[in-house]
Amino acid sequence: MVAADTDNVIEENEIVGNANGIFLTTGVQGNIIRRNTIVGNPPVQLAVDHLANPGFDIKSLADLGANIFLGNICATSLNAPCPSVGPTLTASPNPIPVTGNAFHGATTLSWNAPDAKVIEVHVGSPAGPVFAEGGNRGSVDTGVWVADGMVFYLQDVSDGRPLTADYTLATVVVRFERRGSASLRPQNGPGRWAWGAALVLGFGLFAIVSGQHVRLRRTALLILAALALSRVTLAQTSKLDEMVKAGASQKELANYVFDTHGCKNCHTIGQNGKLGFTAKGRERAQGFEGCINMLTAMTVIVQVPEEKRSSAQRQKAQRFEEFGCTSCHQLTPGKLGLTEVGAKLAHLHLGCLELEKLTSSGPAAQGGGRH
Amino acid sequence: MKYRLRTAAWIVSALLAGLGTNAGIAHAAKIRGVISATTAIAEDSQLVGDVTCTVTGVPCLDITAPKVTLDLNGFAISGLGDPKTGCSGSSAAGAEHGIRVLNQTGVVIRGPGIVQLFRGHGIVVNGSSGGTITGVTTSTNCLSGIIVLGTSNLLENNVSVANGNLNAPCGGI
Repeated sequence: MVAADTDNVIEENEIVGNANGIFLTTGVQGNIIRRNTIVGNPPVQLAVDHLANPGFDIKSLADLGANIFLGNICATSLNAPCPSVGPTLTASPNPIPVTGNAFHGATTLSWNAPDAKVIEVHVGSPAGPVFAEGGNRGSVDTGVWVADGMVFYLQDVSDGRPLTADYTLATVVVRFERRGSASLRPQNGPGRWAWGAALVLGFGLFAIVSGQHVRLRRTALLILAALALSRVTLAQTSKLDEMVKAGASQKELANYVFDTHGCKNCHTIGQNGKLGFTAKGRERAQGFEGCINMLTAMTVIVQVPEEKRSSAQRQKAQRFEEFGCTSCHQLTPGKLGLTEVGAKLAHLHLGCLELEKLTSSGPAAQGGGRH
Repeated sequence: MKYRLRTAAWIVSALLAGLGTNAGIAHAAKIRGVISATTAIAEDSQLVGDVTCTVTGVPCLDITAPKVTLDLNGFAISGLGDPKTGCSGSSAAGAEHGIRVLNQTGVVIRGPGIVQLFRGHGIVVNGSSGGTITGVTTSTNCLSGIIVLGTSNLLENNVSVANGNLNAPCGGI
């Protein structure tokens, strides 16, 4: 390419054994050269014998940074990056092993994009919700919200590049591998006493560290509140354990959770796998984006420091709490995890979506006391 | 008399077509055989057989209208270059190119197909924009396989092999 050439796209070509592979003369700018295989330019004998005016797989006489080179496979270059491998985005594990009818799983995404300066990982499309951002190499854990078939997009956003397919460096589709049925106790998760102790210790430490500002009476109240919370949690999970031991059906478990976890404040038992709404629930559901979208959005929002959140993000976080999502989903700085109850319910396949299906399936709702 | 002249013209045209020789100003739709003068292409066209170009110092196929598609259909367009070097033996390059797109928009050149042995460039896109060259193999041309002097063109899934020379080391692209 020469002189005023601009906005051309040279992609996925195979260029072998030429005097130069791709040759850009002085002044060429604004072109994209990506995912080409450019090797053996010039041929080995010529490279050995002809040392004057040597050739390259990519020879660029243009200004550095004037053109975009992405993921070209090449061995020699002048003024152009020449990685041996293209950008990658991988998930591990993939497929994610899940048991029963679990709707969500967790994985770790890793990326390597040697030619990019700044990247973002988006969910569902190049311009979908941003899940991670960083340098040209890194990894991040997803948390338990990845659905079967979810697609992640590695976007090059260096120098303000737009979120379009033109700047998608790599994608990965995450799949589920379904295995046997669930066991009672969450695996690898903290025990319920550990959570209670952590809360108590946390508040205790807070009191010690900021001792001169915190009155002893308030600290005592906080500790009592933490103990009370842990006791409620314990009571609920203990009851679930007992029910499972007694051979309760999945539907009975679902009904218990529905009755005891605040679901019925806003929902009524519905039909055909869909919950209904109480008057309060109907009012709150105005403009609700749906559980999956809200969870996806929250995975992003938790990574934004509270003081830097936009008003829309603050509103969404507030709704997340109002809707009772925090009973099961734990907001910690930079991460959306599960509470003990959440981990327990997820393990028993009693997440929100499963709960809705179970409680509202069949000809009529079971159990009394529900709307 | 007028009728006889028209009939004679038809017969001559048919004979020329039968010989596979394209006249230089044809607005070809189906191309094959020997081309001895630049063939202007102003409508969608396709190769229906291998093409041997004996033109010197000028392009073999010249796309002269916007939004024209040239389909190579798996055939070859070959010039007069040396089979080993693509040039005039080992000496300097000649000037003839395989396909030229000059000052046009939206032209498509589609493979599979090969453009080879031209003593100039295999394909020249000059002053043109919005064009696409896809699936074309350029091989053993004395200058570039494909050279682009234009804006917003797309070159994808092409193969460039053994193009260029030592005196003017152009690129595969």
